[in-house]
Amino acid sequence: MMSNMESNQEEFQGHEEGDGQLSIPAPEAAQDIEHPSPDGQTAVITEPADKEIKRPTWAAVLISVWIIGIYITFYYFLVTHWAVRYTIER
Amino acid sequence: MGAIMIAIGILYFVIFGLAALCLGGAALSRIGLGRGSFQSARGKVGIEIALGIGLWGLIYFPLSAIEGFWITFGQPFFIVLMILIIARWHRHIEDLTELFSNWRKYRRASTQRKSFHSILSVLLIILLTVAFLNACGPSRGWDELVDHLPRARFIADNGALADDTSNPFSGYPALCELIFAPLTGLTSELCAVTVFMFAVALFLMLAGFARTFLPPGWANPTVIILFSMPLMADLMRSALVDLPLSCFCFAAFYLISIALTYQIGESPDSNNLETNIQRQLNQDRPQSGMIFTAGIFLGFAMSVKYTGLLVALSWVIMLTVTLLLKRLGIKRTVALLITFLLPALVVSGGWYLRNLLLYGNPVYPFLEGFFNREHNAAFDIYAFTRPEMHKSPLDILLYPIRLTFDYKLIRNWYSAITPAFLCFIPLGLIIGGRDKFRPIFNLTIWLGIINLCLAFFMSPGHTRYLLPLWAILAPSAAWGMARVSDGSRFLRRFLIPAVLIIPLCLMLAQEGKLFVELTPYFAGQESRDDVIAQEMPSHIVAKKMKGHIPPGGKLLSIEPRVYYMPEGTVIGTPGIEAPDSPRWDEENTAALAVDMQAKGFTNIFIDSSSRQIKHAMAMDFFLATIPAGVEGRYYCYEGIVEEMEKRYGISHFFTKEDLYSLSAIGGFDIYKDASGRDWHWVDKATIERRSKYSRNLRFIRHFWLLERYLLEQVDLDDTLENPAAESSGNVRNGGAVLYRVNYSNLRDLRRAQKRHSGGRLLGLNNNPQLTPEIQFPNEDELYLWKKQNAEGMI
Repeated sequence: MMSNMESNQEEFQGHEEGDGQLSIPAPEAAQDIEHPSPDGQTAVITEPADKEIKRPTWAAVLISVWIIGIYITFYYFLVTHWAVRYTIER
Repeated sequence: MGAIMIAIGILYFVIFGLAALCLGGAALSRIGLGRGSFQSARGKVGIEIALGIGLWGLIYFPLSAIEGFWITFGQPFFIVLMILIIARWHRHIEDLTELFSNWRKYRRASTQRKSFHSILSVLLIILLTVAFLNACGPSRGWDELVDHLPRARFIADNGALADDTSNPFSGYPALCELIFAPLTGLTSELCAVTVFMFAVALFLMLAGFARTFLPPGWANPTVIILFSMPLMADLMRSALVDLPLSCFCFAAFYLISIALTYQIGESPDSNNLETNIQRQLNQDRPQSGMIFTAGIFLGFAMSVKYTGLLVALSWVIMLTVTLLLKRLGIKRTVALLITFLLPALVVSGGWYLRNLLLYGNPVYPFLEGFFNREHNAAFDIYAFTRPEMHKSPLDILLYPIRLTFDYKLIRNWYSAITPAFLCFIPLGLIIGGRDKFRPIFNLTIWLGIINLCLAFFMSPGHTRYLLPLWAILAPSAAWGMARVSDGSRFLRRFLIPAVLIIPLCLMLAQEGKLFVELTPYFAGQESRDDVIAQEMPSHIVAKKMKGHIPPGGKLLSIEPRVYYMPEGTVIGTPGIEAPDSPRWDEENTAALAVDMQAKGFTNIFIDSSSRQIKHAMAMDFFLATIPAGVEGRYYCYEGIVEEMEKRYGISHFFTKEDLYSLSAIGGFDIYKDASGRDWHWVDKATIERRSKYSRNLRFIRHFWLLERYLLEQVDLDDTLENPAAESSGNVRNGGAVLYRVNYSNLRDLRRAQKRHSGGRLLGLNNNPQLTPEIQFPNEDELYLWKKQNAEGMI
């Protein structure tokens, strides 16, 4: 049991906490190699590391409108109902 | 008193938190899951705390079979157990020190966007601190005083296996109430602090999960998405058990995600031959250990409340499908499923076995028709499944939108979630691409769909009951956010930070407001009773009741928040009556009174000022009294209230102030006519929806008769502020005071409501003068009356 723990601890030594702000990358980030599953029955591909996505301007505008629309609608209704809640019920 | 409570709260939080950490850490070691299994110290500490508290309840459960154990040994046992566990397994505190050392490393590290993440971290820490202080305030929430705390007190007196016939929720699993039981003997605030501990565990687990699966830098946003939901404000400061449930469910999700990603079928370190060999050698233990521990957490979830069953059902479906898709072979798939389900059944089975033995129904009071056809639960489940909600296929599709935006039907208790789910999960689905989180994202989507469908048909569908789902969806929304922010500088630098910071600040404002309300209490300027009475005006009156109830007397309370009332108080609120309560469905009031006396009731307590009760009653009052609808709308004005008072004397249920309050809460229109008279308009759909499941009108009729002819009143209103000028001429029937307050704005209305307690204690006469011939006006009479008024108004 302890050997399991220790081996696991060694295995993941190096990549650390802190919202991933440390410069040490997660070991799984750059793997794209096929390898067998523990039971040897099937092969699974670990995905490639993240890459910078180039998105057209119109898509970014569309996404921005979507986000701003939903958030403004939500908080408009929420704040108006908060006013009722805190004035009447509390 | 308030400052002392904070000190006690901190002491309890630290000691019990450490004990839970040690117990959970020891259990994880036994199972074979070490630091490396989680990749994150935060995630591991969160899981250890949740596991430790859950196991704590598991230790308590068999002790509940010993009669009188809790009342005699509860608190000493609790304290000794904490000391023993910390002494025995104190080495697991190292996990905590590791967490802090990681934090220090992060602080020292130089990163590009460190300042932004530091701001988020500081705001989150402030949020948690304020939430903790609020949790140290007196318990005054709705369900905690109705269900959780009274049940914890009952368990402390009688054990968890006994049937509490004074509470309609006695059949519910009660793992958290069991943990609360010894604490109620000290102070109920510690129960809320225990729940706050679950909030901390969930916080750590979310951050750990994000560290493991999401791109770097997305741990804080993941936490913010969940913790900036307005719904969380009340949950973090009260003894409601939704947070523990969500914490257990998320822990199961966390462990299964790791097992599916890194241990079943995949290895992140395939380049490292030595590690791979080691992994191959040890493969069975970690993956089955993860699944086994996830099963334990699922068992805890099923022991907290029945909604845990819905989560369990969705997990069984999804895990089966996922394992089959991994083509591990039938034998291994079945073995893993058993590894998952068996501990869940063993851990939670005690509660369901108890119900089977007590009620003949493991899920009492649900599915009574299936398990126990002859027995009728007093608890009206039908009302809880929200039959007024349309349930067509289109409504299922619109359900996520309604959960986010519908403020009237879904969200009675103002439990708003966050727009992040609706906003970023679809975006993640469309533009997310593929990375190591994508399979988990897909799994989450399917879990969400199944969970929402189950909740839609089998639960009230409130946002609060879906908190386990919101916790599981938070990383997916954060992933969507991360993917969206990748492609545009504007999104990455401005919009995404804004949608993180602004909700978090609003949440801080919400928690801050709660804290400001409690500040006089913490500063010693207000008593605990004063603080409780602010939320529950009848509290001061209720405290007075003890001196008015005869020895051996039994109290029936129409106000369901009975925690501060004498022990054994029976909840008789229409719609959620306890088994011991009289049935308000009874047609004949005299027969009802006889039944009440046969059941041993000597007193009835009614708080007719209760906002929520009055709101419900007022709607029924509308139904019963207002003139016929005009152009699809119904209307009411002050004159009707006065008329009803003259004719039937029931206006203390529904004063003019209530008329305005109802309109404000319900969002109804108010029109002023040429003479300056206000007309309140209610739309027909609201009235019809309400009338589908309401039976309070019958209760009002019964009460009206009981009060006038069968009971003697004990007026307790004299304990409250009673301005003579306002009350003169309004004293009626036994001295109860009706306050007529002219107000010009909502603030005045609020002050008036605070002053008006409305609590009334009624004592049953020994030899009641039954007058069954006196009846409430029948439907025909009401119709004529309505018609006359309608003609006069139009």
